[in-house]
Amino acid sequence: MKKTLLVVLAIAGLSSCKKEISKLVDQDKIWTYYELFYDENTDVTTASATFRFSSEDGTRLMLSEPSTITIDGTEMTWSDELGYYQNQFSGLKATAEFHWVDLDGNSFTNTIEVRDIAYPTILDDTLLHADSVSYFMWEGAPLEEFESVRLTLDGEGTSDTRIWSVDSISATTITIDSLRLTQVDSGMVLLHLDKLYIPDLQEETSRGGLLIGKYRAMDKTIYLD
Amino acid sequence: MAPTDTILEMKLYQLLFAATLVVLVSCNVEDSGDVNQDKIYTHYELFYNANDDKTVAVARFRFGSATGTLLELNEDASVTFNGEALEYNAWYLGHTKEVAGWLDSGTFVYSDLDGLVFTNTVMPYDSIGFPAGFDTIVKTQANTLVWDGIPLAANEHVGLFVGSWTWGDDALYIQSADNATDIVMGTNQLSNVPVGPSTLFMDRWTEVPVAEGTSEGGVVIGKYRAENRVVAVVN
Repeated sequence: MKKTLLVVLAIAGLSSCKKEISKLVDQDKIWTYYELFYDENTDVTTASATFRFSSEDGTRLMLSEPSTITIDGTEMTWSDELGYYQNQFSGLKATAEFHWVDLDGNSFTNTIEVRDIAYPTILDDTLLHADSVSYFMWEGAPLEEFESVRLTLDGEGTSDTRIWSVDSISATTITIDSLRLTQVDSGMVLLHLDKLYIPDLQEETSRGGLLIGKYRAMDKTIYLD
Repeated sequence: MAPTDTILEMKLYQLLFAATLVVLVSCNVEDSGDVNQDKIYTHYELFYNANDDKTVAVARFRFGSATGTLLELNEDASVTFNGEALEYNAWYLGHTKEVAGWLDSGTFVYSDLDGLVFTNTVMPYDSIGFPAGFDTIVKTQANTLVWDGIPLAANEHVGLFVGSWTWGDDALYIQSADNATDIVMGTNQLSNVPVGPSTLFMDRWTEVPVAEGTSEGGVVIGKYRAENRVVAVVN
């Protein structure tokens, strides 16, 4: 059954690549996704805006003229390959304002920021132990409302990816259970550390959407015993 | 039926129920008036289930493609089956009507909001069943199931699902070859299936493109589900 579901999901995934144009749907039924993502590994900030019919699973939409999407006043670029709008900026772009005008002339302005995070200055490279619970304390402020921190472990095996996260206000630490660590082969593993800020949309259609600011610290490689 | 068989069937149906719920929950439904009428993909189906001895006529409408957002027809649009209006049913994700017994053909008529009318007929489709005495699957070797029913014609398919009581430990086989009379269960997928009782589900269906449709097209399906069969899986 799992395989069957995987096939269904794969088909759904493929179908989600199908795109239509926004004039084919009621403008108030458009679901929106705005993201500002800074990656220390590349020192690039990527802004993206995605429009879908009805929900996050809906058909992707390319805006029909004269509908427009801008970021800080600059029109965003449609990517046929990705199925959404994307602009990149050199270095850290800490805040951005997305401004979408739909075909009915309604304007939606949403502002987002990325909030930084870092690994501890001295990172114990034997931090993770598969035989006991491990704790990871990041460098940076405790979590505030709408914030979360996510630690992703990428092992050498094809199914050796595990994710831990925390979103409690004032949290400073991620608890890493040993059960999932034991499922990963011992050896060198890559860590990704992300801080997400996901406030409510400030202006939205009846179908809502998501507004995300994401900061990824420089990746680390450590040893998992 | 032995108590273990009953438990097995209950768990299997619970899994199917859970999976269906997941699908239902993940499916948002919009009004068909919210989209361009020419972008509506249509799915017409007659589904006979021998386990219930009933046929369901289903008309599904989606935006843009076979997996697009589900649509419920606007009150000014309509779909009928053999002249009777079909009402939206969230369980079936479409407009439906249930009929007692096996109904092997019938006509759907869909009228959209632009005043266009699309007529599509499900042509007679064939039955299928498990052969008498088919009660064991040997998982260490390939097993051939010769079904009760005529050979497959063009556009016909048979699907066989070998269900177990453990999540993921199942097998699914599809046969679509013209003139086929059997389906071979290879050892690769069977290796997932645990030893013990297992329930088999088998469908036979005919699928053709719509005769009348929008630019997005659609399908017309006639499907027959055989009575399920509980078998023993052995090494």
